Amino acid sequence: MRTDILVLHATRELRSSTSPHTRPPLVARRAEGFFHSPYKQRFSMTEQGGIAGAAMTGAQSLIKSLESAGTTDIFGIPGGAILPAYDPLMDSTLIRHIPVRHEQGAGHAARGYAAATGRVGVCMATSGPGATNPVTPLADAHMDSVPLVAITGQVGASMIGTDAFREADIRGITMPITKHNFLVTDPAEIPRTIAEAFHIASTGRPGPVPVDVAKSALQAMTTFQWPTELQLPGYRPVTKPHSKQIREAVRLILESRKPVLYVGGGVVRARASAGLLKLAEATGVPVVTTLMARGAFPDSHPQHLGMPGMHGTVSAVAGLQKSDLIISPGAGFDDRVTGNLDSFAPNAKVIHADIDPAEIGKNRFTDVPIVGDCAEVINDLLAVLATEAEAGHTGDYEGWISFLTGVKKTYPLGYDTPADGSLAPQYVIERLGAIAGPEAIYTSGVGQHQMWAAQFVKYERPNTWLNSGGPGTMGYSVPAAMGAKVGMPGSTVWAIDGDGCFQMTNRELATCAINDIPIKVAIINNESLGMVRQWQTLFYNERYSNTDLHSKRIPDFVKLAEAYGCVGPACESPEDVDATIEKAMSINDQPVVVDFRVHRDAMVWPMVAAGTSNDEIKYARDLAPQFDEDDL
Amino acid sequence: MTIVVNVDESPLEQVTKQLNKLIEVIKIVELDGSSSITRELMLVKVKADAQTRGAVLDAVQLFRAKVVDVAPDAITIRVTGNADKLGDVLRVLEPFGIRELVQSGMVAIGRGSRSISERSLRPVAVPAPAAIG
Repeated sequence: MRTDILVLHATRELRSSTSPHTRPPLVARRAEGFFHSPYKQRFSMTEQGGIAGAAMTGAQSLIKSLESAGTTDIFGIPGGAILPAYDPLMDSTLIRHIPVRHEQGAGHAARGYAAATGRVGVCMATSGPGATNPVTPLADAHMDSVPLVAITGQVGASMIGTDAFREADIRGITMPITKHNFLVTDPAEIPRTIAEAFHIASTGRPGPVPVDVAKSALQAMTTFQWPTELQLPGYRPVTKPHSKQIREAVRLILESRKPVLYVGGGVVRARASAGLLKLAEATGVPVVTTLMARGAFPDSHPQHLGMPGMHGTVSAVAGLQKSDLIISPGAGFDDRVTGNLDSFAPNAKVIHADIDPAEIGKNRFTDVPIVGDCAEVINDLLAVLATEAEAGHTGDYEGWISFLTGVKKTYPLGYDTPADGSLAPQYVIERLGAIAGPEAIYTSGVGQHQMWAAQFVKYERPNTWLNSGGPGTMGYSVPAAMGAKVGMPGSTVWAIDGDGCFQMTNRELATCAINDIPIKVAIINNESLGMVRQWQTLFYNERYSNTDLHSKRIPDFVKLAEAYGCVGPACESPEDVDATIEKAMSINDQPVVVDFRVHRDAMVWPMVAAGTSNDEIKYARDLAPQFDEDDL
Repeated sequence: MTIVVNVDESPLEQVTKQLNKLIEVIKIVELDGSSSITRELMLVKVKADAQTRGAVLDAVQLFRAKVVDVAPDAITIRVTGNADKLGDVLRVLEPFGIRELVQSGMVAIGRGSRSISERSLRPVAVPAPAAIG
C-alpha cells in the first residue's frame, strides 16, 4: 500500500446548482451565433418570433430544444411539476409522445428504442415518484451503455430543499448511476443543457443523462437560443486509437497460435459489426460474442463459437480458457464471463479495446490497452494487418481452429425433451427464432428464458437482441419491445419473457394496444422464478423457497391479454408450437401475447457455477466435457 | 481539489480513471512527495491558565503557530504544516490538555512554474441536430 495524492482541476461552476442566483454567465460566452438552416425546418413553433432569441416560456423552450436535438418520440407520463412542458408538447408536430402506464415502462421503452435504433431514447416524467420510478431503467442504461435522456419536472426552484409536495433530489439519487446529470433552475439554461445532455448521452461510451427542470423554470419567460458550441472541457472521449498500440496488437495477433476474438456490446454500440466481420475473415481468428454482443457477428458464420460465460457454449468457454491471446473489442471481462478471475484464460495475453479507459484493466491485466471507438480500432487493425499480409506476414492458427471446430461439433447446444410430452421451453424459443427469423428484433426479461433466447435464437444482425445484461433487470422485456417497435415500426418485435418478469411490467400492453404498437410477447410460463429455482435445485438441495408463482393458475394470461386489448392464445403441446407462432406472426394490427405453458424443471446448460473456474464447466448436470489436450 | 488515496497501483489507476470520467473534472495530476508542497490546517483549543500559558506560548513560538483566540483558561492555536508537523505540535500540546481540535484535509501543489490549468480549453462544436438524435 502507498499513499498517493491526486490533484483535480475541476470546472469551478458546478452546473445545475440549486440556487438560481449562482448561475454562471456561460451563455454570454457561447451565444455567438445560432443554428441556421437546415435545422430551421425542424422547429414547429417558429411563428412565435423566429428561431433565434424567440421569447417564450421555459416549457416551450424545453420542447423546442428537444426538437432541435432530433427527438421524434418520447415515452412519459405527465404530472404536476412537468405539466407546463406537456402543454407545448401537445402542439409539437415533430414529437410523438406515448403516454405509458408507469414511469419504469417509459424508461425501459426509451432504452429499448435506443438499443434498437442507436438513437437517443427519451423519457419524461414528473417530480418525486415520477422521477424515482425510472431510476431502475437509468441504472440499467448506465451499466449496458445505452444513450438515454430523461426529462423530469422538479418542484419550483425556491421550494427545492423544503420537502415540498412530490419533491425528490433526483439529481442526487441518480448521480452514481448515470453518465452525467443536470438540474436546471434558470430557463435560459434549458437549450444548452438539452444540447449537452444529448451530446454526452450519445458520444463516447453512451449512457443515461437525466435532466431535472424546476417547474419555476418551465413557467418563466425566457428566450430560446440553441447553442452553436458547447463548453465541456472535462469531456473529450478519445475515439481514434493510438497507432503504436495498433501495431503492437497486430504483432501479438500474428505471433499468437491460439487467438480468440472476445466481442462485447461495445461493438454493437460502435456500429462496428461490418468491420468485425472483415477482421475475423481477414485473420481467421475464432469469435465469441457475449450476451451484450449477440448479433454483432453472424451466428451462422463458421468461425463463431457462440456465447461465452456462465451459460455459454463449451466451445466459446474453451476458446477463451485455452487461448494464448484474447482480442477484446468492447467487452467488460464481466464475472459472468470470466468465472473465477484468477483462473480465467491463464495462458492468454490480452488486447483490450474500449472507448472508456476505465474499462481497460478493470478486471483483467491488459497487455495491449487500446483506448478508442471499436469501429475505428477495427479499421486501423485491418489496415495494419493488410500491410503485414502484403509483406507475407499472416497468422498460423490451423491447429487451434481444428481443435475448436472439434469441440464445437462434439458439444453443440442442446436440451432434453420432457418424457411426459410436455413442452420444452428451449423448443419454443428455438422455433420462435426459426419462424420469426433474423430480421426480427427480440427482447427478453432476465432469467432462464433470457439465456435460452441468447442460446437458441440465431442472430445474424446487430441491434436485434435487446436485453438487460449487466444489471439483470426483470421486467425489461415488454416495455423494451414497445420502445423497439416505436423506433423500428417496420420490424417484427418479439418479447421473449418469463412468467415472473412479465408480471412486473405487463401493464404496458395497454399502452401498446391503444397506441397502435403491435408487439408480440411469448411468455415462457414455467410457473416459477425459473433461474432461481434452478439454483435451488443445484445448490440448495431442492428446497424451493418462494419461487413457485402458480402462474399457470393465476393470473389467467389469456384473459389478461384480452383484457388489455391483445390477442392471447395459449399453447401447451409441442405439436401446436409452429401453428401458434405463425398465427401470432400473421396478426399485425394488435399486440399478441402467447402463453407457452412449458415444463417447469428444464434447466439452462451448459453452466459454470458462480465463482468457480471456467475449467469447471458442466455440459449438462454432472457431465463435464473432456478435452483431448494433445489436439491443441 | 486535493484527494489523498491509500491504495495499491491498480486501484489507484481505477480511481484516476473513474475521476476522469466525471464531466466536471478537467485534469488529474498525481503528485509525489518530493516535488510537491502539502499543507494541512489545524485549530486546536488548549487548556492554558496563568501558570501554564507561558509554556504553551513557547510551544506556539517554536512551531511558528499562531494564537487566534484567548480565554482565561484556554487559548486557541492555528497551525499549518504537513501531517508530520501537525503530529509534532499535538504531541507537545497534549500534556497541557486539549479541549477541542478541528483539522482540514490535505491541500497540495506541485513545485516549480508549471500549472495544472495550463491546457487550453477548446469548445466543442454542437453536432448537427439530426446527427445527435
